[in-house]
Amino acid sequence: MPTVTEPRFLEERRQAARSLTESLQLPAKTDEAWRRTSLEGLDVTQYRPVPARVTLKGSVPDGVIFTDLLTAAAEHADLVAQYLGKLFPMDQNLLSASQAAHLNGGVLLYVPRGVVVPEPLQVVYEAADGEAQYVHTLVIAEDNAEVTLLERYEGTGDYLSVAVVEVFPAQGARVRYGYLQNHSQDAWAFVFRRGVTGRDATLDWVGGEFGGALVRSEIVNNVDGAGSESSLKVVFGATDRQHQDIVAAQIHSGPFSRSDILGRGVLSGRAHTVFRGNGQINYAAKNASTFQRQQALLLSDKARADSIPALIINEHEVEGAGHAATVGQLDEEQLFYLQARGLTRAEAVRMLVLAFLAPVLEQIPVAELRDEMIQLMGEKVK
Amino acid sequence: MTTGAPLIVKNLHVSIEGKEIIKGLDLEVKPGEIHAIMGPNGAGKTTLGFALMGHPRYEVTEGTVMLGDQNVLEMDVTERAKAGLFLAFQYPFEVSGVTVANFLRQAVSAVRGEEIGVWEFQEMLAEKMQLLEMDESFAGRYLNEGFSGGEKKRNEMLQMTLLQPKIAILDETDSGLDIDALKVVAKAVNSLRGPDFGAIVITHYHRILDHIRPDVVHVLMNGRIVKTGGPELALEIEKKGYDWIKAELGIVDETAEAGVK
Repeated sequence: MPTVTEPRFLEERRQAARSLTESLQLPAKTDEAWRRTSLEGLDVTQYRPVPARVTLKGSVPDGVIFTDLLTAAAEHADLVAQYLGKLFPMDQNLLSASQAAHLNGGVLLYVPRGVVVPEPLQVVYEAADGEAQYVHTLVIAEDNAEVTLLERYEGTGDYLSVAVVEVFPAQGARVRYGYLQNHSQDAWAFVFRRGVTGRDATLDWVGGEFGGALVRSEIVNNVDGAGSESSLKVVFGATDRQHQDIVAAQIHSGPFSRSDILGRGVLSGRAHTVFRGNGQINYAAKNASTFQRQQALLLSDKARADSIPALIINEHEVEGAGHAATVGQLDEEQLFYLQARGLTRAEAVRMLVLAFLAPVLEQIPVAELRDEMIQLMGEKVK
Repeated sequence: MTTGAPLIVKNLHVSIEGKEIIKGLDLEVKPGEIHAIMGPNGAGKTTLGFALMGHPRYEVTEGTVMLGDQNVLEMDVTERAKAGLFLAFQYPFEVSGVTVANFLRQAVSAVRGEEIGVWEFQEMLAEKMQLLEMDESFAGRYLNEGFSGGEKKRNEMLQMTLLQPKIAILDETDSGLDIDALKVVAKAVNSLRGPDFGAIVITHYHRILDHIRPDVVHVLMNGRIVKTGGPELALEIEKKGYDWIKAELGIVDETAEAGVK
């Protein structure tokens, strides 16, 4: 942890959060939103909060702030105080309170008005056995700013990671946020991502879920600005006994706003995934549109994929809305066809799996991230 | 590079879900020979192709199949492809997300047993595509997705010319093709024709045999080869259908359709 004196607002926030940790509980299965994910066996006190290992990569133009969050909190206290936790209140449950109380690392990315950051910026969060990682990423893009941020989560052993990501593209800003979750297969991993778009802003989310023993990964995006747009694309690969619970929501309040959700996953072994897609158009979000598609491919009959698409429309003048969900298996005839051309069964499976994911993978804007996802997915189906 | 090998099928019996379709079939295709197999619907033509290639749904209950000194029935489908057997599918499967070029490069590498270099492959692909009168953009499209019937068959022929099998089985590749596409199929087969290549052309129609002159013509009925002759046999069938053969041989088969469609 950087040796900085914590600003008063952060100290007070920690104190308030600490007292919340004494009264709040872990999310329970009785809560509908957590019904398919059991946190039984998780004892957060068993993991030791230590300074998080955060690595930042990439160079930024003048005026842009891209720095460790705890340093930023001291140096840019007003800015951080204004945005930290704005979209993700700490009083929801023991996880949100613990994250705020023990916050031990993170990133502030601030892009001033009109500034375009040409190269993608990268953040790596690393954790190790026995650790509790409580991190927070803040992305603030002022009017007409443009930036791409890629996050990577990795680690070894049995640890706990609770991350919050909040993204604020203001009017006309364009933010692309990508992540690659490659936690240890023994880790508990929670990521709560929230976003809100300004007028005519674009916020694109793209991610890959590969690691973790138990994962809860949320993207809840508020498409608030009139004429704003957001796409959300997630691929997931789960093997063995991995449990991945993915939440992907686009909540429209802005008229003429548009969004989509695309989720594709591949499961093997006894893996269990939950994909909750939610396209919501609130009252007064006239002419908004939201479409979602989620598809899962099962490579084993012991694997289980729960697809839970929802559409909530509270405005009768909408441009369009729809959802589709499928869960299927590899086509034996396609496999035969590929094998008849000399590919082994494993090569044929790998080819079909990558083909299945291609519509998502092809739209990943950064080649490096895309190639790595292809490689990770290839390893998953070996 | 590949040297030919004879395909010798003896007393082959094949069942699908317990129902016997091929009932004791004998066939010998020597390197350099092209055999046509004709027969009415339901005779077992497609079953023969799938069984020789090793589709798991087609169960061989009796008989032997040898490719040179290799026992084909002991190999899985991948091994058969690597050994030099090729089946041109009547209904090739669509694989969205895999480009033709990517697929072909993997297939050629697999059959060769070593990764083919990008440039060598590109050159080879361009040459074969030109031979088969295919547009360059074809290579970038997803495998068979949205292809017309003719394009799918051309794609099968492209695969065959690139993989250079010892024995190719064309399962009604000519069905539904216009004359230009038919000529392209013939061109593909004729380009491989030589002492190291044998082919079994399964067809309903005589038409293709005007362009690929067969050395031997067989008639398949009721799961057996009931008559074998030269190219003139195909012409006779074209004119007279199959009823005369049934009458001649005393075959009573209600499932087989009479005559050429």
